[in-house]
Amino acid sequence: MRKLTLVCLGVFILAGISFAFSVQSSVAAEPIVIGSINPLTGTNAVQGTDMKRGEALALEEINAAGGIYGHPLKIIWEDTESSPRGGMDAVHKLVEINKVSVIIGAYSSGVSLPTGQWTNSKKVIQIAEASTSPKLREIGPYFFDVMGLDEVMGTKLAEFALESGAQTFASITVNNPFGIGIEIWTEKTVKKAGKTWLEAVRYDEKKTDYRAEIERLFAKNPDVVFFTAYGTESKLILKQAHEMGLKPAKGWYADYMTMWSNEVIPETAEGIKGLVIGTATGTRLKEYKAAYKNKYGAGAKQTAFGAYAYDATWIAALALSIAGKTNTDGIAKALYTAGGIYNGVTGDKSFDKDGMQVTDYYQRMIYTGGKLLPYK
Amino acid sequence: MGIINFLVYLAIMMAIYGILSLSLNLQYGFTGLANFGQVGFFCLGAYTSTTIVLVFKLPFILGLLGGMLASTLFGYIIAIPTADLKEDYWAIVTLAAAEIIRIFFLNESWVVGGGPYVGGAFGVGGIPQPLRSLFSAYTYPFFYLGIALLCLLVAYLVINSVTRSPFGRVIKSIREGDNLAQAMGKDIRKFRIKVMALGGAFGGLAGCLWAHYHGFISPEQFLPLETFLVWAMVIVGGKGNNKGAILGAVIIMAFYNSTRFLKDYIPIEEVTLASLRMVVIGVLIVAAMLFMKEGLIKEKKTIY
Repeated sequence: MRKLTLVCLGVFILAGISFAFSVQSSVAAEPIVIGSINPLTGTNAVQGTDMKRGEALALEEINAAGGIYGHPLKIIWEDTESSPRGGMDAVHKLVEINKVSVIIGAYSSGVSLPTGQWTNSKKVIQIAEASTSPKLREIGPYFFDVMGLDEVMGTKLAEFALESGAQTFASITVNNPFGIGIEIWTEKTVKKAGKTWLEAVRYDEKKTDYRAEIERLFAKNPDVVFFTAYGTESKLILKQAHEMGLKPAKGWYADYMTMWSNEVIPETAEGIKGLVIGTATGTRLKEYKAAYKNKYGAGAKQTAFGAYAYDATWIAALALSIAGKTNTDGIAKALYTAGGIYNGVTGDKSFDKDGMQVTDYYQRMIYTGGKLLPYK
Repeated sequence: MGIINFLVYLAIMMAIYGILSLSLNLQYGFTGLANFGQVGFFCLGAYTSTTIVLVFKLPFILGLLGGMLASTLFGYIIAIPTADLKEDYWAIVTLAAAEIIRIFFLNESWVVGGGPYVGGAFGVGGIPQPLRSLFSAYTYPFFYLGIALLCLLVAYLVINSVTRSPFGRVIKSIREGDNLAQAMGKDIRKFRIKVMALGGAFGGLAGCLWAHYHGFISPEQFLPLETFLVWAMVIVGGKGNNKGAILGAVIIMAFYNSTRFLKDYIPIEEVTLASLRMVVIGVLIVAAMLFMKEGLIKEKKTIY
């Protein structure tokens, strides 16, 4: 019993000290504090680390430029552990203890939806950076997203493929909100154009063999295959399709090509067309990449999402500057202005009436000779 | 006020995981059934209750009972063909069974009403909270904490009375090896099935509470990792002791959350601290297994 009492005391003392320090720091803090939730551990840690770096880069630039009406900006980063439970723990801590009015994040709609519902109920602004489910649109007035929803990417990708003159289409996508969203919108666009949709194959991540899915995909011999995959899976799917001698007549069309372009075996991905985010050859992206390399070194792994996190941080800072206060209604209103005037690394960041992106900028690319090149 | 709200949130999580921990403790701690699929009950309870309340528009209490019933049946059904298996095979079967449940909800969106972007990988949002309209955003967590604590108390009382009854003595003897129970003429198969069903009921209850508190569920919330979190609670708290199971849930959840605060005043890079937290939690479990093999609260040995 004595041991038990000591353990209980230890736990509560640890918690108590932690809370006390946090409260003290939040009350006495000079800077304007915002929160961020990223997957710093778990299955999406690579993307989360890149996003955190993007935010830190923006933070450095914002403070170098004078901060928010004279106050430095500070970000408290919390780990979602790549899970909704970890995400909920993180937002509760940021809102209840750190008293932030703005939270940037999260990666994955599966985390952004529950955290967004809760932060919205608390009238705290949340700006998602890498979540694309159209359900996000319904969360409420305090929720924003700097990445175009699947409807934007899916439609643009299908429009690109339709220009090839293909008549029949199929898709192979990862079985998560991101992949299925692309499937739904490419199919919708293809059917609207009066073409034939043959098959929609969904696969689970982290499998060691995708031959069954590939066989089903090519059973009806589609002219075009839409393709969504993270690095590891795309390497295997393309390799196995290549070994099986299966290739769509009018080619593969992929979204977010930088998710896999550094990992695939070049000959298996030769000729894949698709879209990459942002102004891939624009000045802003070049500046971002140079600054990133300068701060984190050439070996730091970049994903497609760090640039969105960078943009989200800048937009939050602009909105705070415009609002001139941390009243969330004022910041929410200012976010529409900030999104409209900000020239982002990932393109125009204007919000529609639901706080979602009006559009997203994508550049057409082709993978050839082991590289992504602009498609002409 | 903020601190209190955060502590209330933490207490709700502790209560929900405490119920899950009690459920696993009944199966593993008292009966020796290495259930690696505890999250399957959690998932089934959450989805069943959501369907009953959201799709069929029935009251929360029916959702709760429905979730418990579905998980009871699931525990019963998976135990029928597997009750004779040895511990390691049992672990594999339960792990696979929980994955079947998760993959079913990942692919069958019609279960929760279907429609664009509802169910399947998209998850289900807008799950009603019981008597939500009667409370403000700030007082509601206190009410929900009351519900969660009441459920925890019921789970504790039921499982405690079961483990202290003659039934409890039999399952403890099964845990020590089949021979003794068989020599006494007990049908160990039936006892295992009943334990899985009863444990399933409370696993389902925890799932219902989780779903209605967060208002959103998706298959990615029910990955196998959640099972191992519950295992950590039972091991650290003390297997074969119901108070220990609850204490384990309190400690693990407190540890998970309190370590978040360290970086607010220790100059350490966030990515490093995030990884260190996971390492420390792992070390805590290993240390508990090495130095406190019976956990923080040892099982009371009774001589009959």
